[in-house]
Amino acid sequence: MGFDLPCGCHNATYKQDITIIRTRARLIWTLFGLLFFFSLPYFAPVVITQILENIWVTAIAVMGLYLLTGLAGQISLGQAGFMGIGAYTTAIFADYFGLSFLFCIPLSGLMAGTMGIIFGLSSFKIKGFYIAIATLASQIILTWLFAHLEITQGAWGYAVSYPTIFGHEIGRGWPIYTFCLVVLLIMTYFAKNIARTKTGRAFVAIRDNDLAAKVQGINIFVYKLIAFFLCSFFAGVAGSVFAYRLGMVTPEQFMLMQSVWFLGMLIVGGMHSLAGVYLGTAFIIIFERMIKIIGPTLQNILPSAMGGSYIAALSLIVFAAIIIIFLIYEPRGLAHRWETIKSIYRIRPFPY
Amino acid sequence: MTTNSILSLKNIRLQFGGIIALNDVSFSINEREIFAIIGPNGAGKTSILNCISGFYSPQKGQIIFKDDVISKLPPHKIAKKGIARTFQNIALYSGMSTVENLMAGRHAAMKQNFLTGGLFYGPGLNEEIKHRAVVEKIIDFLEITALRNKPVGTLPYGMRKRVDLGRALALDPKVLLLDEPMAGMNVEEKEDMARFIIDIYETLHIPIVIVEHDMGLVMDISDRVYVLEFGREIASGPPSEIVSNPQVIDAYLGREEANFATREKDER
Repeated sequence: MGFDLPCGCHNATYKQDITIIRTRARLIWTLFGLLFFFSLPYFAPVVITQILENIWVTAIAVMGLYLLTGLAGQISLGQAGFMGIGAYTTAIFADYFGLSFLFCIPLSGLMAGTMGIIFGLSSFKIKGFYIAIATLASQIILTWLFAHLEITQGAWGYAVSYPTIFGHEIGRGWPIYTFCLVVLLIMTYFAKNIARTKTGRAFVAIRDNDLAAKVQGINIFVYKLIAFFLCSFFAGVAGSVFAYRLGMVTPEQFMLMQSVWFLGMLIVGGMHSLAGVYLGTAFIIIFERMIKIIGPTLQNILPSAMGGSYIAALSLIVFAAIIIIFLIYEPRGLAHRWETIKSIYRIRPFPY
Repeated sequence: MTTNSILSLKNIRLQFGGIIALNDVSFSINEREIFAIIGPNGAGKTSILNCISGFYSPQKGQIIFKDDVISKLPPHKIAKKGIARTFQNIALYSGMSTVENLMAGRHAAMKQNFLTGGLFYGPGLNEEIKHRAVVEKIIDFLEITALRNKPVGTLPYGMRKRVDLGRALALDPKVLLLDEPMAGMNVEEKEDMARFIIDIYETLHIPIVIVEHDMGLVMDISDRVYVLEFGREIASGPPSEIVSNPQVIDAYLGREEANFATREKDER
């Protein structure tokens, strides 16, 4: 809410006021954007679609983090672990029991969500940094379990075949790309609407002022658990799609570092808006890819004493630098910058 | 005046370690009155409100709201029964706009969950629209229409106080507790706030408990005044009795000045 409408456009009902796609221009832009991204695999090189697939999947997990950290104000360092639960659930149910993805994806979400509630129980007594440590513990426990439990097949992991719909395989190329994008759009729809209705407002209330939230009749503990559930649910769905897309699930895909990356994406994008989720995820993934491309070139240019083994750490160093720069210069993230640019355009040529 | 009490405190005793914050505090609020609690700093006025809204649980005594004992309930359950309050230092959700703050205040009245809300179709959508209409009525009532979509963090102090009041009203309260609604305001803002308080009382028929330092104002708008000193009641009654109560004058002005004040009065 709160964006300015163009001249001559008035909200006559409350329904109009809470509509997101309000004007025809906005509708056309949205449709154009959707058409562009859906048709991309037909003309873009494979590298691009692969990066985008990666962005779509990761964005689902970061979106969960947006609900928990951005709205409800609880820091989680365990998102990758919950994603792993989703991935393993899918691997086991799709391959052993041969269930359809229509069943596997929600089930993965629910499994991860249930675990999220269990680890979120500690939020009853602790908050702030301490809750971050509790989720860190959950991450470490989960990765250990993935590597050591019999059902997860240790370091071998699982192979997952592509999902099928009506007997057709959703295979490599545009089918799996479309699959990832559709799941992302469905999850975006849910996340956006959760954020702007009762539950989302209760989350923000808890984040901004938990005392006032209490006297407004919000059961803080229940809503924190709902936040943990939703966060892990999104992670589980992301893990499920991740498993389908990559075709394999191993413990080292869901390490602590991945959780930190997720949090970094949220910070870079902007914690308090859904657009930030997309922007941050895209920014970090594309950046990481670019470093992978320029890394070897740098290795050749730099003297061997400096280059070589240090290149491997380059992405981490740059990542750290990006986070620090964003925290100092744009703590509200890319989404805020984007809003600024939009409003500059909208009020041009009278910037006052 | 009717004697139908809606909220009553019976022999409340609140202790923090060795310090007795409230000692044997008893009063009851009728369905039709503005009830003021006054007293010097640290007398325990805010502690009374915190006991009523469930932040503190008194060691002794009972708080009864419409035949139910509420002194052992958690704050959110007390809120759902219909006791709304504002805070001395504004406690708004600064990340949200005015409308969203008030909508968040409607939380207790909303029945949908995150599933129907997430679908945003059918019941989820209808509920949003229905409660939005209620919120808009409050916005009109408090004359904050222009601030509707502004983030409350950017509003001036007086306006934030007003949004805070609006959010309390959004709860559909049966009793409204106001903790220093006029602290730190200029005369004009104070007058506005007083007008709103009287309007709420007269048009919405909500009994109000007000904690305030501005004596002139309290005496003007309240029906009954309860005076507290060091956690104990020293006087209670209509404002006209309170102003001439020697104990109250002592508590507020000290003995020397009290004599001086009475002498001055006599001379006049």
